Amino acid sequence: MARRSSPPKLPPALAFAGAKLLRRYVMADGASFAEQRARMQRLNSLLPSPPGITVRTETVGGVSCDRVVASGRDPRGVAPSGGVVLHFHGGGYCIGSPRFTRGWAAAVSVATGREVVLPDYRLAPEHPFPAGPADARAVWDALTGEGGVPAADVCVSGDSAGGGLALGLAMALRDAGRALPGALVLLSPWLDLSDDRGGDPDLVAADPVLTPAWLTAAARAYAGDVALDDPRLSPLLGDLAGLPPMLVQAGAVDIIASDSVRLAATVRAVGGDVTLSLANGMFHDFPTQAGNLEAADSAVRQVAAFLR
Amino acid sequence: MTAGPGTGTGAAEADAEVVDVAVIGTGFGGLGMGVSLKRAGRDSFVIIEKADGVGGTWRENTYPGAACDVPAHLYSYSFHRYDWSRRFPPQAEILAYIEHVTDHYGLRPHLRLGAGVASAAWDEDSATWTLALDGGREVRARVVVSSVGQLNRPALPSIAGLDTFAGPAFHSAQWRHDVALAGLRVGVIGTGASAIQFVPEVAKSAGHVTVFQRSAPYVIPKPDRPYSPGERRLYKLLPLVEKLDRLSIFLRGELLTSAIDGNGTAVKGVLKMWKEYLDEQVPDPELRAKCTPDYKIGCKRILFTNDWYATLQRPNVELCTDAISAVEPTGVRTADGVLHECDVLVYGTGFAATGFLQPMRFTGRDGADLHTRWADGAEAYKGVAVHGFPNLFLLYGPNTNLGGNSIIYMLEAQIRYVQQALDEMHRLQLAALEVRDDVERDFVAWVDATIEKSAWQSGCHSWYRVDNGRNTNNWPVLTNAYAKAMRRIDLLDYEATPQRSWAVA
Ligand SMILES: Cc1cc2nc3c(=O)[nH]c(=O)nc-3n(C[C@H](O)[C@H](O)[C@H](O)COP(=O)(O)OP(=O)(O)OC[C@H]3O[C@@H](n4cnc5c(N)ncnc54)[C@H](O)[C@@H]3O)c2cc1C
Repeated sequence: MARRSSPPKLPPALAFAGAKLLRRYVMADGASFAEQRARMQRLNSLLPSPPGITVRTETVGGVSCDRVVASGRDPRGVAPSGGVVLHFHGGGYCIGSPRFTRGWAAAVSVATGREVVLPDYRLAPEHPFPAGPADARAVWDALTGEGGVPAADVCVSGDSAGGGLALGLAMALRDAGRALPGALVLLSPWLDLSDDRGGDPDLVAADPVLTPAWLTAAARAYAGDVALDDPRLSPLLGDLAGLPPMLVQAGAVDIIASDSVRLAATVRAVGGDVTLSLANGMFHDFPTQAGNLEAADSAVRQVAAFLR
Repeated sequence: MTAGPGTGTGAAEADAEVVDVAVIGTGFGGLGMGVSLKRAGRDSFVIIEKADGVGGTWRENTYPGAACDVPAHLYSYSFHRYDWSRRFPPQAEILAYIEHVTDHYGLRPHLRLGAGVASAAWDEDSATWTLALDGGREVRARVVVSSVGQLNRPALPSIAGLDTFAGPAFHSAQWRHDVALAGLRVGVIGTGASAIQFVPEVAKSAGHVTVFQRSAPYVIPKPDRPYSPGERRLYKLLPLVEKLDRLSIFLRGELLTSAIDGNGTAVKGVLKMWKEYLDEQVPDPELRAKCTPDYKIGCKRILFTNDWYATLQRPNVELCTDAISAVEPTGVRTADGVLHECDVLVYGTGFAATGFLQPMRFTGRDGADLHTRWADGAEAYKGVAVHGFPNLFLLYGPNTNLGGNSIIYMLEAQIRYVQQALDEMHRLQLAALEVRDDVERDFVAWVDATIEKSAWQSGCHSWYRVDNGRNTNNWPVLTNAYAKAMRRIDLLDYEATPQRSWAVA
């Protein structure tokens, strides 16, 4: 069925192959996380910036952030809403950058009229826990402080490890008795660092993005001396009651997809409001491919409907 | 079954039958779903049927002359071939095929006949449906597949005095075989797909037949004939030959569909075929005028028959195009004041096709009522799923009817899709799937916009449309496009509820 006219999309099979190739390139020769980061940055710099947005790099709460806003010239765009999406990028707490999720941010801003703020939080192993969550909190405090955006107008989101930061931030705010964000959006979130992910060999073989060994290395680098099952590192193992409504999206061909499913089941069990969509034929973090992949566009439409 | 209904089997519900899947209806849809479940090794299912036997359309429509109008090589399950006696077999043969399939795939033990589903309610906690059957029995199921057809509830004409008629009066789908029509004066109301099949048969023995026509149908010849013993052997020995015939029927159906969808060349072709046929069959200009439709071709169902025009010219048959003003004890009075005396009245007035899933009541998530949801006309994502109604799948649901091809083809595409949904739920250990609201809305917007370009929406009054003009019944593009859209389920279109066991203790 013909959708509204839009540029051609990658066939899923090609996207899988591309993801595999990317992994091979980034992780080749047992590269250090610093080297992996540099390689990803090199790849990212080859990508054209998505159309229809303006990006400003600004310091918020002492953390450099990319602020993405739909320029309003896009015919599909909706009127600016005043709301903000505070999104934490993925990369196992060790790699990645705001540039990495700019495509998703652009699509979300165009579809919702919201500004999307992408913090360039500190990464391990140079800056292990609690540097990441501290940066996340600093950005939140600055964004929602005096004269800022009301907490309820902020959706906190994150992909992969960024999903863990987002959920952890909401839990920390709850524990501190602070105002909570209006909504949470978690894309293929990594929520349990203590799980070794080797349990399903078929899934390990099929996953084009993640490997158990890489996740273990990232978890160790990030955790430092803190136990991996500490809920501050593995929010799935903490108290999940009393959180804002959340939307969780994941591709099922992902060795950490079970985190999304366990999260949804647990939040339901404690009486929370959670919507889970599990794309059976998709890989880890597929929504970040918005603009290139029909499934990712569909995921963004779901985010827009959720935030409406 | 790992994903069977879990909690809450209290003493009060002890007599509810608990299954994984409850299918409603034993037409081609429900039985085909049963075959699929059987083949997938999922034996925990029942097929609930209000009637006392299987067959649906083909059990009910026993009127003389009842037959399919898509050749049986295509109008049959792709997975079960059969030794058909002719190209367009009669109702009895199609019903025998359905009975045979029911036996062959061992569906009998799964049938629950003789009591219909009155209502169904979703329980969010246990993620199950509870179905209340007429007579008080209950069935609890994780998933419900409704396959109650679009053409299951006869529609009577709304004419003053209908129940004052003194003689026998009945609908074509409820044929009174105990009423011998030989020598009697029979009034037939309606000239749709059923009437054009039974009027020629009735006229053979009736004393007089008056056919009351509101609007003339487009009629084109039906290339029907018996298969010779040699042909039947050939089809049996060389399945490929039958497959090719199946394909060629399908492609011709697509051509007809493209005409309805607005393909100008195809329209001209069909129009020419009809006009030449009419001119050749009906020499009398007055009758010819009466037989000329007053709407664009394709707006209503195009009909296939070889004996309609010939029958109208029999001495004992009269085509009356005056509007009916009332039914009286002894006959039908038309607007010109004439009373057309009849001994028997037959309603060839079709079905309440836009009343999807009526009169069942479905209560979904948060107490949502399905028919309230559908107040402006029924709609469903790809015809199969409705937001607010988790684990409910529809076969032959809204906007999946065709004007020029086999409904069984559509049903099979839907059955494969639903089977995939069940398989994925099992594999991923999900308790429920509910289609996303935005996905359903986008789809319906596309259907509504696309169908506006078709002949169906060119201004006639048809059984495809509801009061506000929306077409709730038909698929708007080629049949093949539907199969393509249904080939692989995308769970991203759905919101998933994990099984409880996933929760972190
Ligand atoms: C006279 C006639 C000729 C046709 N010819 C063709 C043709 O040539 N080609 C074509 O493609 N299509 C044709 N059709 C359309 C036909 O309806 C479909 O092809 C197909 O048979 C539909 O199958 P189904 O299982 O969806 O529904 P149906 O066959 O209508 O079966 C529905 C079943 O559900 C049962 N049911 C309904 N409500 C309940 C309830 N509340 N509880 C329990 N059970 C219930 C009914 O009793 C029935 O048995 C024809 C239809 C008619 C009426």
